[in-house]
Amino acid sequence: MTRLSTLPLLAVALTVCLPGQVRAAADEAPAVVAPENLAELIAKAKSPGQKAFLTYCATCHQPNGKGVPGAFPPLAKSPWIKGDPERLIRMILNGLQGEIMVLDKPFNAQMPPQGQIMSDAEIATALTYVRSSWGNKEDAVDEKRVAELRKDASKRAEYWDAEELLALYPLPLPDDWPLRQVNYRFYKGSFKKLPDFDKMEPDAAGHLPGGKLTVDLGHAKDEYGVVLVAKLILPAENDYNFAMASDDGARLFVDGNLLIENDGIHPADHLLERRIVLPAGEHDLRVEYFEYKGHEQLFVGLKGKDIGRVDLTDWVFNVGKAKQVYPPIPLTATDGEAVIYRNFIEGANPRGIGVGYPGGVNQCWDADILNVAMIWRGDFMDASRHWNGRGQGFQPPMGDHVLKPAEGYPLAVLESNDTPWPAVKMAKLETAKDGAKATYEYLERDSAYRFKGYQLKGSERIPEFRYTYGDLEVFDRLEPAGGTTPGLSRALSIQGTKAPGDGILYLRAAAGESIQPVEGGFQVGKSFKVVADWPMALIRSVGKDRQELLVPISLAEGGAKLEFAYQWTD
Amino acid sequence: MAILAVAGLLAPFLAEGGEASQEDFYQLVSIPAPEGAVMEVSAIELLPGKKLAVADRRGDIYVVENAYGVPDQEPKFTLFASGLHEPLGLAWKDGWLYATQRPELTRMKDEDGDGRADIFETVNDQWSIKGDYHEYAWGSRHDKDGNIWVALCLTGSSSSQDPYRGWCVRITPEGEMIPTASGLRSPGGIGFDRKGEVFYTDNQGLWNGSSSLKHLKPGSFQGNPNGNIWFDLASPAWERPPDPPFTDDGSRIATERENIPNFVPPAVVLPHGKLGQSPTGIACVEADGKFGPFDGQLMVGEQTFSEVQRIFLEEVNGVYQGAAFPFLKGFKSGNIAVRFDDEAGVLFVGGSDRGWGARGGQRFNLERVDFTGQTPFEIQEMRARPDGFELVFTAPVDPKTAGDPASYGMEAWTYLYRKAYGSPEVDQATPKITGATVAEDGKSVRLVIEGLVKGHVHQLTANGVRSAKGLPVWHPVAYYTLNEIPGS
Repeated sequence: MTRLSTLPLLAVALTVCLPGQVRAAADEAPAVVAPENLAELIAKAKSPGQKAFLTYCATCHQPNGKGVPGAFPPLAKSPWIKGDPERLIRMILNGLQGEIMVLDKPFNAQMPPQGQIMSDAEIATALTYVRSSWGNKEDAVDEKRVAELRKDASKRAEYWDAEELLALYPLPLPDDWPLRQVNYRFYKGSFKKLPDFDKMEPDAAGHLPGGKLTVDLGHAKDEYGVVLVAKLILPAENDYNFAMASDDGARLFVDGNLLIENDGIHPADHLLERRIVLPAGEHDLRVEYFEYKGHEQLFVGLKGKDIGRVDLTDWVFNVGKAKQVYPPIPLTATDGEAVIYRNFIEGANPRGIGVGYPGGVNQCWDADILNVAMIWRGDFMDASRHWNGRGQGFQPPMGDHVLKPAEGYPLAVLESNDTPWPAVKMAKLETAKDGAKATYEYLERDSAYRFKGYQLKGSERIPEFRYTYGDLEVFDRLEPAGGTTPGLSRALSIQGTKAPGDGILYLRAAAGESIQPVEGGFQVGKSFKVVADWPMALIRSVGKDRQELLVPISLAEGGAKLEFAYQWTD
Repeated sequence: MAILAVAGLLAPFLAEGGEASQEDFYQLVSIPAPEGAVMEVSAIELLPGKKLAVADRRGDIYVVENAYGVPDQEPKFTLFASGLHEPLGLAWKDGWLYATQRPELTRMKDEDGDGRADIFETVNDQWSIKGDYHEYAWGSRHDKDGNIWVALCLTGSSSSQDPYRGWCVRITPEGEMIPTASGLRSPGGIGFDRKGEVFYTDNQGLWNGSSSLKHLKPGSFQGNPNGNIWFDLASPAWERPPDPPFTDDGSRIATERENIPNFVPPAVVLPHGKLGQSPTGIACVEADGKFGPFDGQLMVGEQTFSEVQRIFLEEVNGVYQGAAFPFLKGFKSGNIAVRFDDEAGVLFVGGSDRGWGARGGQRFNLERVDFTGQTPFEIQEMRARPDGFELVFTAPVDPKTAGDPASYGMEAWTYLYRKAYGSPEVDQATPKITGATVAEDGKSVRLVIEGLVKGHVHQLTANGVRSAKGLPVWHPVAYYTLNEIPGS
């Protein structure tokens, strides 16, 4: 052990200041039982079902069945509990993964299989307990049904995928579901616009017992048309807002009147809306739809004062954008110091290192490719995705004016002016997983580069990143540019005399759709300018619509220093 | 905290036949986090000067002073570093604090003496990540050669979609990465035994019938074949093991050990559901009795049940095996990190239940376990013998009950070894205890047993045994994994 002086010896106050952190939310979590209590509750359980539930399920779903927001879904009054218990039995036996919606809240954490630890009787009684507790009023579950499904379960090595399970056991519709008598007519045909379906003979027709609208009827994936008709029951006279999105064309009619039309071939990328007043009672709803090729998607929704929002289709437009359930945890540079956030940042490779500088400019430095991946203005990062639940997925920057000023690796030795800039490569491995074929693609990092970390410099604790490129040692530091135009200055210091390879060492300082020399530097597209004095810089075209800005570097004096800046121009 | 100093005096001595309670022997003392901090403890390390380094899942590292419960000294937290990517290992060496974080092994130093790290040096980042939350990297402390061992979880805990998921790698002092073992699934902690051998905990799941403690012998295969696809890339000094059978019904580890030369079987199975559900950190007790008579044994954290289990290890025919005992319960969150202070004889435990439920009920915890000085009557050691087991108790036994085979019970089982998730207990057997002889030392009992099964977990119960003072065994159950039966 070495001297203590390298460690903080000065005592600080009991409550420390947490730079860059918002005081989040230990106490936002719902009340859960104290440790002794769960053990005590198990000991005091009034029925075998309650005991099994408390023993195997309650650590996550909580003894009161309310779950933990953002982590474990509630069981109390959940539609997932209702109807055919096989949905639940199968999920318990083999586990469940994938995003699910429970009582309008998304959840996405694997539920591990419990089939190897819970007996048939325990699963049946626990489910019976869950299905008759906290307002749930469903039938008891028979042990024999568990035993039967267990025979299938042992053959399954994978978790159930949520979509797969719901296709087998759709969630029951609410009691006040507004559609009745949902029927369809199916037409084969290579339509590029909606035809007059009434003049055509359907190739198939039928009833949709699930009660929801869908265009995925199982007859065809491409080149077909569908007419859906149903009775729409409205509880009161009111303003109703209808919404529709489709891939490809569709029309929505109510009582024979065309409300919304979006004909032609297109993705389901926007919502069309129409507000009308409708009386209480029964109305005729009709949707005409065609699918040319590719995705087949239809969304029809309805909003009204008495019915709230009702999604009438099995596919829901933009469900992805409704994902954010956690209160934001914005990270901010405080006390004049930069804040660092290492995590999965959207727009960078997995080794992204976010840096929020004092003054509202930010960057993400990508330790996979040793280069700045993004710069942006305004707020830095929202940590709520990664600091809740299991922290799944990539989180984009919180602010705006996001730029990717320099793509790929920063340095390269080029044999000639025509040698292309080395690409960031993906490696591919074809293999077998559990005896089945699988192909995995992953980033193949350039072995000439090694990331060496960073040092926090100055009173602002600004990180200076360090890496090696062959025998060269490189320091890369970005910081707020100062002045009236927002920007980041960048200092790249290279030490050493020998670059890896034969040719000229270049820095790729920028890449974009177009690069023009301008007063004091180079304009890149419309959005930013590289402020630099580089008479020797090379502007090259890459393919038809991209250009790159290359700066030759001489190592004759044992290294080089490049100082420049990225400045927003929009 | 002042109570602790006198706890040993206050603890009531157990009356004959009185019910043992944990507080009589071990006290759990919470060390409260700084106000407002969400300190989801993921690693704990000891620092010079009786300080702790505590990492959390949000990427902060605190230096904690006064964590030992000295009267009138409140714990003090200093934020040493922040912005790391879910660090799951800390190690102090030569003035540097090493942190194994998701993308890399980093070492940190406070160069300017303001109490906060300013140098973050990447020691090695040569394993892959692709953005899956399950890509955990669990780092050990330094081994005797200065290496840090890193156990890498499979992608999504099931497949190996980029290099070295499902492997253990060693990072040398020079910063090079040495692929060291394959076959890992979902580790929850990594640590050393008293000889410096490396062990990790692996969680029940694909190819893991139950959670267990496994021995990371260099060149070993740990059972899950999905990471073996990287042998060409890793090009280690040993051959890629043949695949186990991909059948639904599966095989048994004891069988496949015969077919797969490098297969090192789990040293100690922690029977799923019986002894926790999610084992985590590993700490070896070495305290000259200051933590009770358990020197050389391992403490293993348990997240779901908020517990700490106790492990006795031995080596038989070159293979590690031993017994797992229930030990401490009632921690306040899902235990992840454990760290034992040999000098003080105290165990530090911390964790979080975020994303993975725990019985503790609190979102995160940092706790210290103090020994009261009163030793519980326990099965201290359980060793395999050619025809049975030898038990050592922590106190002299009552010769009558301890010498009666009827005071004991034994059941044995194993698990399916297969690609599906987990396994029921299978191949149940009931070995018969035919003899129980108390040794001259008055603390050891030799059990003679008919029907030991190689490869099975042997559950021993000792409900009828009493100490010389008439006390029942505090935890009268042990789970011995009999990988090898010693020769006579």
